[in-house]
Amino acid sequence: MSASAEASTELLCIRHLTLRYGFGPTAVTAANDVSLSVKAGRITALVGESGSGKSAIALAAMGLLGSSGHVEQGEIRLNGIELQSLPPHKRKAFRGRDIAMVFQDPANALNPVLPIGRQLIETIRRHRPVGRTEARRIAVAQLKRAGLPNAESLLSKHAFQLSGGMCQRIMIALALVSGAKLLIADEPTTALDVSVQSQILRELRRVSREEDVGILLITHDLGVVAELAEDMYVMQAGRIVEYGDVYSVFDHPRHAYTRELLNSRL
Amino acid sequence: MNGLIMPKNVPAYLGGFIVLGVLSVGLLAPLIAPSNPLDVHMTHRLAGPSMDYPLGTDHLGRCVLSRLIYGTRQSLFCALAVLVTVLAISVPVGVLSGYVGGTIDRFVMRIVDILLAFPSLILALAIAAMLGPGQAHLLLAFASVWWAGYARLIRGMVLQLKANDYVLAARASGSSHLRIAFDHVLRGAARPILVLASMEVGTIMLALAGLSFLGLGSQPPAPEWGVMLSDSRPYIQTVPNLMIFPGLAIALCVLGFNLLAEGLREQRRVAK
Repeated sequence: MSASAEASTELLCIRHLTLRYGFGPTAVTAANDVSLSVKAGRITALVGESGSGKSAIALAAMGLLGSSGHVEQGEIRLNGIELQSLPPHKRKAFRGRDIAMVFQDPANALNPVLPIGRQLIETIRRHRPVGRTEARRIAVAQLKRAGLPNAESLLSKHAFQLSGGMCQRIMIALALVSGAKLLIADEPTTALDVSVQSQILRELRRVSREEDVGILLITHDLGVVAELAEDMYVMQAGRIVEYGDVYSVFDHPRHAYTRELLNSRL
Repeated sequence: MNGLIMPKNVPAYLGGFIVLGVLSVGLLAPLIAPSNPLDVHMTHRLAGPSMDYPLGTDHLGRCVLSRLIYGTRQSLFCALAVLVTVLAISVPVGVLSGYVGGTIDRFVMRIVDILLAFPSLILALAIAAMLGPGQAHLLLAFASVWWAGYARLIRGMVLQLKANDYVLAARASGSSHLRIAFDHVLRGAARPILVLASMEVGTIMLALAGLSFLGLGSQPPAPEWGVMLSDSRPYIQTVPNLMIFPGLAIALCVLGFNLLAEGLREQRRVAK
């Protein structure tokens, strides 16, 4: 798959996106004229310090900006379909089916009062016309594919019975269970131990390679970027200041802010 | 459920035992009452305890024990009916207000503010007086006042639950708002709501007995604890047991529910 990366299709394409929170004179611009693209089977990193607008872009792509955030201008295309002009119920249909997301704190991203299996099965049945037993079978297969041991018995467990790394791997499985080809990973390893981080990174690389999933990796950790990503965008105060493939940006950072970020590493 | 088996949780046990006892007394009233609670025996007025009338008779010669037993039905089932009505109003309103937010939330919460600004018992009294005396009216008056506090509390819980990442995660996987409101929000709030409800049964019983005492609830000759207390007022010095036994019944019942609620809360805390 990775060999054909050059020819791979563009899944997410954001053009000249400007996002604001709030209205009037107190409005805050979270993203200013941002353009980026994510291709199938490739991992694209969006890097920047906290508050630079990375997560706002992720939420805008999901259509989950909330009540005070809104898209001022620009377009967001998913598989070539312009999303901004769609009514909410049409956008909802894309979530989970075409575009999925994993979050920073896996322990809190799973409902503590529902067993893992129920959350997986509900998600599967939301997007596919299958019965309960068939959905269960798909869930087990998905967990096995993610390399989780005892997939069968995991289904009856609750989030608090599992480690953070387990939860995050389940989250990734859950996000992709409905066949989404674009995964937005918002700081997927920040809340985890270093030893567990590499597990998650391996899993992300696996889904990208084997399942041809395009990943938008949002992080402030350049180590993670170097480890995993192929392309990277550097964001500062709502603007993309630098972009390119990871090797060239790391070797020859052109923007002062990128150099600063690189120098700030241990 | 393991927590209930633990001998440590004495309040839950004791409360559950009392509540179960009171419930079964209410359900089995016709079987265990020694005589008809409405039968008047003018020859036995204000008699002390005897074989025929274990707790004596009231000013019309009615068996106090039988009236107490039948009164369980009135008091307990009325309180439960109020509770169910209150939950039926406050849960949807609270969830809607908290989950949707915005203008709806502000509107609903101002209504709640208005209701909470009055002492609820007095407001219930006014509504009950307006509708006229009667058990059903009392129930209605009560529920229409009592839901406000609950709605506010449930809204608060919903706001807190809504902010969880798993709600956003559910949205990201394409869940509808309705589904999230039920699966992720209401489910998380269910247990605290139940604990709170069990705590409130006692309070509601007490308040209902109070309103009946004032003549707004069940009407004589219906056997109801508040009415019995009210009837016994003239005899407080001469035949005090007329007043003592209904009072004890109310106290025991309220104690039972409070202990149960306390036990449940404790169990929740331990489980956490």
